[in-house]
Amino acid sequence: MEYVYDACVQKDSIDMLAAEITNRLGETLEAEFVLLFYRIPGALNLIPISMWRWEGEDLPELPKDHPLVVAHQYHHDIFEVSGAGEELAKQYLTSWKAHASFGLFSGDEVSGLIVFGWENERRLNKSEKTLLQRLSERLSAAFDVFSFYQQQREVQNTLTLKNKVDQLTQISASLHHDILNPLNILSMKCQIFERKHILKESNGDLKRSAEDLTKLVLQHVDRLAIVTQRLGQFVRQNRGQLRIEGLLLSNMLNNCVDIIGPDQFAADNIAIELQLENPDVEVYGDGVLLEQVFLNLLLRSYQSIGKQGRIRVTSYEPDAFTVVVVINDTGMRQEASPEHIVTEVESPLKQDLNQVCQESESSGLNLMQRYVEMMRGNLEYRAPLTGGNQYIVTLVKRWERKHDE
Amino acid sequence: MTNRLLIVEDEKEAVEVMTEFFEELGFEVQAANNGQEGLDLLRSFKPQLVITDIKMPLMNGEKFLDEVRQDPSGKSVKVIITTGFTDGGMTRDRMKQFNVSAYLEKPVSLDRLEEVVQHLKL
Repeated sequence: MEYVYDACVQKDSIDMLAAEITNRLGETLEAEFVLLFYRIPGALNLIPISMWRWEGEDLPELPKDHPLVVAHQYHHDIFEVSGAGEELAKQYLTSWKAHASFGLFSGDEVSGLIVFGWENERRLNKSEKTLLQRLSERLSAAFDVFSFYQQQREVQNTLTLKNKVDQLTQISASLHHDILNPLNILSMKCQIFERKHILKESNGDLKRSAEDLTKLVLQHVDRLAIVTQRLGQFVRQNRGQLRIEGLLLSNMLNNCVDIIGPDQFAADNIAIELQLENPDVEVYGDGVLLEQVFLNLLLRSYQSIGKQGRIRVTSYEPDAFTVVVVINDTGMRQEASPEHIVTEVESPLKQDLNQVCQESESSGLNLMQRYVEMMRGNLEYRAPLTGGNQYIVTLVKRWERKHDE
Repeated sequence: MTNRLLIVEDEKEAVEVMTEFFEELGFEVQAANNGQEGLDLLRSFKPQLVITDIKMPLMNGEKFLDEVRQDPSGKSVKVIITTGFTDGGMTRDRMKQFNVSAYLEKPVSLDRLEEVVQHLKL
């Protein structure tokens, strides 16, 4: 089993680990099949990592809606399966009419289950039980190493993303400063010119030319100002500079739907329903930031549907301090590939919100999560087995009444 | 009596343009290019109105306003902030605390600025 441990470290692959373990267990215990599952922190279910059978026929096919088949289908994806892993394993075995012994292992992060199966009833003898115990301990250690490497990878990914965002933020801040100040001077100078020389003096063609020129300059100054404002917004968000205030949730959500365009929803035959438990509820947040979060989530839902479907936005107040907004859609479930999420970065220059943004220029879900967390809230994504996507945004409820201000 | 205006802004050309604008409106204008200089001028020049940027070298606008409100010559002076979006880290609460009369984002609209100044009834 030392080899298994080394394999995990060197190959950094849970599949390799599983293959080694199943081979060795099969040889030593003479089991007819071995199943291995592991459970990641926070998950309800066990994820099958290896199902192996010695000799004989292939494993019988399970019905397509069987939880294990579904689990396989969404391997490493976010999924929900009711029932504990042990139950699933028993169901699996029952479907083969097989007998089995179980061994549990538990590391700091990952726990799991080893299942040894025989077609005929058989009990483990004393030495096999001892071996099983030792293997469970080894597995725990091996999974700890695996978890450590997983964590390292996650930290690495987070750092990479953080570095990217920090660099972008730094560049944006410089650009913002370097553009905005000259723009401000140019704008004020033009406004003074307009006041002093155009409005007060009249000189036929020269006046008209000066008017046109000033108008043109001011028009372009305004355009550039919008771009620099967006850069500034990006910098402010990523530096955690928030303007926390009470925001009327219904206004915020209605604005977001208006920005995307109710006509656009209608054109694509997408019904959007807003059903807030309390339409007067206010939440604490940064208006610009929260609008971006809801816009992002609604656009995600919109994109995932394509044509014909439904987006339903509901809210409820689970306690006196929080408000939960749930966005459900009937679209395609999103892949929970970390790389996919990690490589998505904010596009500060995206201007036309009436256009559905392309995947590459959409804000990452992890960034949205970060924004919500900056407002002391929480954002969760779920892909229920029944289909569609579900975004759950928990926000801090404003507790003062407006007239108390 | 001529109203006195103190501009605290590190961009020299922006100071020149604003000075030109406010002199046209009949103000007597003096300018400082950071908060520290602004404090010195506040005591000697005794303005009725201060227009300040937030992001400045040596002493930023927030620190400057903190000092202004603690200084006897700055307790009742009216304050307008002109700033870029990234410098707007000052919260509403802080602005309330400093009794800021108006907050204008760059690029500044002179019509709006004039409107605000008239509204202040100096």
